[in-house]
Amino acid sequence: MNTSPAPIPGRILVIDDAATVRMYHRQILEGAGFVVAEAINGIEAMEKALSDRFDLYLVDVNMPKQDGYGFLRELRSRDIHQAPAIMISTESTGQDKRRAYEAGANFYLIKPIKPDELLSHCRLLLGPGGIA
Amino acid sequence: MNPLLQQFIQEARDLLQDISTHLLALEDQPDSSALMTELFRQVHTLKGNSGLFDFPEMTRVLHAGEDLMDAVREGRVRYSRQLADPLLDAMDFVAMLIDRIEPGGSYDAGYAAAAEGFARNLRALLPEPTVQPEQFAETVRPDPVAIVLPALTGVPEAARMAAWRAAESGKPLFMLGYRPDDDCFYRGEDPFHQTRQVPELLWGTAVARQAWPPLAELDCYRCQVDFYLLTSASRTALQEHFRYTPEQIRLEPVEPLSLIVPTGHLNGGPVYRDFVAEALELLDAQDREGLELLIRTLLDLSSPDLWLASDLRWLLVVLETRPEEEALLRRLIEALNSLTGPDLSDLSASASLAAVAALPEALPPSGSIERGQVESVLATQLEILALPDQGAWLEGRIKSVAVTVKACLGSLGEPAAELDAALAASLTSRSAQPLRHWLHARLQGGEAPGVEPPPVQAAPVCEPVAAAQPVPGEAMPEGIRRDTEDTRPSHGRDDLQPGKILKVDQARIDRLMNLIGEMVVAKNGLPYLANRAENQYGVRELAREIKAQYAVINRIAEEMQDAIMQVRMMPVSFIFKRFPRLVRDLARKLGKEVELALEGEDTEADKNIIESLADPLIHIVRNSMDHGLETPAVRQAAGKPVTGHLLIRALQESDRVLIEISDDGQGIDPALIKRKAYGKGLIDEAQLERISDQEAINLIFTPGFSTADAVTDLSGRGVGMDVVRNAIDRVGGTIELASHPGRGTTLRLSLPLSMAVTHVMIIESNRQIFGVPMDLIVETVRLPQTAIHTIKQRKTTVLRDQLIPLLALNELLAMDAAPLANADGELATLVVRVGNEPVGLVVDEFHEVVDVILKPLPGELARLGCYAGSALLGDGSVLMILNPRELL
Repeated sequence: MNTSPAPIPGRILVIDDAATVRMYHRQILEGAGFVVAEAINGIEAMEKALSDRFDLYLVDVNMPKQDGYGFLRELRSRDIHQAPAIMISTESTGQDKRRAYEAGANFYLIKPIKPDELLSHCRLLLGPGGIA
Repeated sequence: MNPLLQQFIQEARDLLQDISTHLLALEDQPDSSALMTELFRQVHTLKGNSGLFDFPEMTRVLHAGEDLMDAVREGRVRYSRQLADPLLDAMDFVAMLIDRIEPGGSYDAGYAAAAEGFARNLRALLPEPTVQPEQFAETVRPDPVAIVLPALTGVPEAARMAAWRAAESGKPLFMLGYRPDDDCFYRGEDPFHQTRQVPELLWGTAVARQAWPPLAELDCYRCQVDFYLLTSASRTALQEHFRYTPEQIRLEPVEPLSLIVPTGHLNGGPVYRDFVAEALELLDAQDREGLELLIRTLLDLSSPDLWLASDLRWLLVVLETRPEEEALLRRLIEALNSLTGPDLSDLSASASLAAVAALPEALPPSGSIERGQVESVLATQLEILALPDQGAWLEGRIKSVAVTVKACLGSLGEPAAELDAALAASLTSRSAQPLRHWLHARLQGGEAPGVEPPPVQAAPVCEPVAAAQPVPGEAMPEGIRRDTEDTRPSHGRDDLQPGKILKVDQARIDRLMNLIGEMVVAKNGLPYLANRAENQYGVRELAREIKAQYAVINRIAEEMQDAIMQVRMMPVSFIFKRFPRLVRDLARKLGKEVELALEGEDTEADKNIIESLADPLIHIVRNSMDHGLETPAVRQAAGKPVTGHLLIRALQESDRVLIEISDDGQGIDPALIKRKAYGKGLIDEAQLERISDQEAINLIFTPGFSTADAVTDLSGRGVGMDVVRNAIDRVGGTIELASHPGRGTTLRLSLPLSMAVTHVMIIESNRQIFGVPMDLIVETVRLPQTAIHTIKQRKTTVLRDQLIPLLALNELLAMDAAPLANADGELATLVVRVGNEPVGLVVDEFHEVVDVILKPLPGELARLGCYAGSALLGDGSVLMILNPRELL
C-alpha cells in the first residue's frame, strides 16, 4: 500500500515451544530489522522478560509447563514495562480470543500467519520509532 | 443484460433440453442415425454459440461433447448408456453455468477444474487417437522469428505443479511462444483470444516485446506483445490450433523435472537443520508416511510465500506422484540447507529446458500497515477494556492497552495527548472505564477511523469538512434518491410501458391458437350441413340461411385466426440482431473483412417460424463467411473491393416471408461440386457428364456433402446445407440457391407466415381422398393422352417448354389401379415442386382447397414418411396429407 517504512528498532520476544515456529518468526522479524529473542515456554519467557526489556511479545497458546495464558497473567501482574502482546493460536473462536484478551493479550493472530500480516502487526503495535 | 447474451441463454436452454431429450430417445433406439446426427448438431450449435462469448470452461466441455458425438455419428464409437451418462452430466454442468451467467452476464472463476474433469470424462470415451509419437527433435517449422522462450521459473508454482501432474498422467508438456505478426489486427486476428483458446492451457502470459515507447509514439494498431504458454496438449493439437499461423509459434517440449524449481522469499537465516536431518532419516527408513507428516507439519507452520514452503510443497507433490524417486526427494530435502534450487539436471534424460537454478527473489515481505489493521487493533483494545475489571493483572493489562493504543495512534501520526491522563485515571480507580471512555470518544469523534477513507496521513486538519459531510440526516435523502434513480430505469427496461404489455406464457397462446384452429376447421362443417339441408331434407331456405350464417362465422373465424397470429408474430430482428456480432467475430477469426447489411428487420412471422430459422441462418452465414467470402488478399487479386459484403434481407410477399442471404464472394464452382459429389459417390459417372451447373450447385443440399476442404471450427464437420434444408422443409419453407462464380452466392428462403393452419388441396385417387400441401403445388393441369410421351421408359410431358416427369399417385402408393381419365380423356395432373424440380403427379380428380390443422401421425405410423400427417375434415372424415418430398 505505501512504501516500505524504514526498519523500526524493536525488541521482540518470541515464545513458542516449537523451534520451527520460532525460526520462522525470527527469519521474518530479523529480516525486517527487529531484534528477536526466543523462549520455549512461559517460565523461560518470564525469566527473560524480568531480566531484559522487550517492546513486544509474540505468545503461543499451547506450551508445556506454562501456557500462553499463564505467562500473560504473570507478565501483566509484574511491575515492569507492559509491552503489547500478540497471542498466536490455531483457534479462531470468539471464546478463545476473549480468554486471551482477558489474560492480557492485546491482539490475536491465527496460524498460519503470512509474513506480511505478522510484520505489519508487529510494526503497528511497536509504534513509530519503538515505544519509549 | 445484453440482448445477445440473453438470446444465447435462452437458446442454450432450449438446446440443452433437446440434447437431453435426444440422449434419452437414443437409449431406446441406439442405432438411429437421425437421432445421432441431430444430437451432434445440437451440441455443435451450442458449442459454436458459446464460442462467441468468453466462456472457455463451457466451450471446453461442449467441445469434448461435440468430439464424442462426432465419433458416435461416424460410427467410431458405439452409442451406449456409458456414453449417455457422462454426456448428461456434462450438459447439466453447462446448464449450471448458464444459470450462473444469467443474473450477471458471467460466472465467477473456479470452474476450470470441473470443466476439465467433464471434458476429460467425455474424451476418455473417445477411441485412442492415432497420434504419432511426439518427435522432440523436430520443431514446428524453420523458425524465422526466433522467439526466446522464458525460463520456467517465470511460471507460477501452481501452474508448474499442474503441469507436473499432467506429465505424470502421461500427457506431453510444451512451452509455447507465440509472436503474432505486427499487423495481425488488420487481418482480423485476435491473438489474445487465440491464446486463450489454446487446448489444455496450464498457464499463459503476455509480455511486451520491448519496453513500451512513450504514449505519443505508441502505435496501438501494431501488435507488440508476445505470448508464452504452458500447455499439456499434444503437438498435433497445438499445430492444429495454430494452423493458420504456424510460423508465428515456437514449440518446445518441457522436461517435467525442470518444473521443480522452488521459489519464494528467502528471509535469510539458517534453515531448521533438525528438520532436514529428521526428513533424511525418514527417507532412509523408507517411511514415506512419516516423511509426509513431517513435511506437512513444517508446511503448516510456514508462510506459504517462503522459499522453504515452496520446496516443501514440491516435496509433497513428488511424494505423491513419484514416491520411488529417492534421489529427487533427497535433493529437495537437502536444498533446504542452502535454500538454493536442487540441481536435478543429471536426473533427467533430456533436460531441454533445464531448470535455471535461479536464486529466488530475496524480497522481504513489505509488511506495510493498512488502515483496516489499525482499526481492528484499536477496536480490540476497546474490547479488552470492556472486559470485567478483575484479576491481579488488571493494572498490567490496562497499561499494555495504553501502550498499544499509543503505538497505534503513533502509526497514524496522531497525537495521544489526553491518553496519559485517561490511563492515570484508570490506574487510580483500578477500573478500565476512564481509559475506555476516552478511547471510545476518540474513535467515535470527528476523526474516527472507519468513516472517511482518506489516506492515513491526512487526518486532523480537515476535521470540520469531514464532519460536515457524513451528517446522517443528509445522508438519508441522498441514499433514497440514489435508490430511486437506480430502480427507475431498470423498471422501465423490463416492461416498456407497465400495464400495457402483458407477458403471457407461450403455452396459453398455443392453446388458444389450437382452439381457434379447431374452430376454423369445425366451421367448415356448415357448408356440408347446408348441402344436406338442401339435398337431403329439401329445405332450401334453411340451406341458404345456414350458408349466410356460415359466411359470418367464417369471417369472424378468419379474423380470430389473424388476431392470434398477430399475437404470435415476431419481427425477424429477433434473430437478425445476433448477426452483426457473429459476422464480426467470424470475420476476425477467419482474417476476412466483411461488411454486413441487414434489411427488413421489422418483417414479422410466426414465432415458431422465426425460431426455426435461427439455426439454419447461422449455418448459412457461417458458410458464407467461411467458404464464400474470400480473404482481403484474394479479393484484391481478383480485382474486387477488399471488404466483402454480406446482405441479409427479409421481406413479406403475400403470405410468405422471404429471406435472402447474399454475399459477393467467390461463388460456388459447379465443376468443383461435381467432382466432389462424384468423389463421395453421390452421383455416378453418367450424371457427372449430364448434370447442369444449377443442378450441380444444388448438390450441396445432399446429405453427406460438405464442401469444406478443411474442417474449421466455424462451419466445418459437414453439418451442412442438408441440415439447413431439412430445417426449412420442416416448417414448410423452400430454399433456393443461386451462384455466380467469382461474383457471389445468393440463398433465398421462402417461409410461410404461420404454421398453424395448412392449406391443402384435396385430390382423389382410386376413390380415396388425399391432401396435398398447397405450398408445393405449382399448378393443376389436365393432360390429354396425346401430350404424354414416354422417354426412356418414363412418362413425361412438356409444359411451357419444360420437360416434366409424370408419376401416378396410385403407383406411388402401391395401389393397383390405372389413373382415371375424365370424359374428354384427360388426366388430372398436379404439378408439384419438390426441391427445384417440378414433377407431375397424376391423380383421378381435383377437389377444393381447405384449411386444415395438420396433426402428425402418432406412434409407429410416424415412420410412414410419405404422409405428413392427418387432418379432420368438416364432415368428420379423416384426410391423409401426403408428403410429396418423401413420396417422390
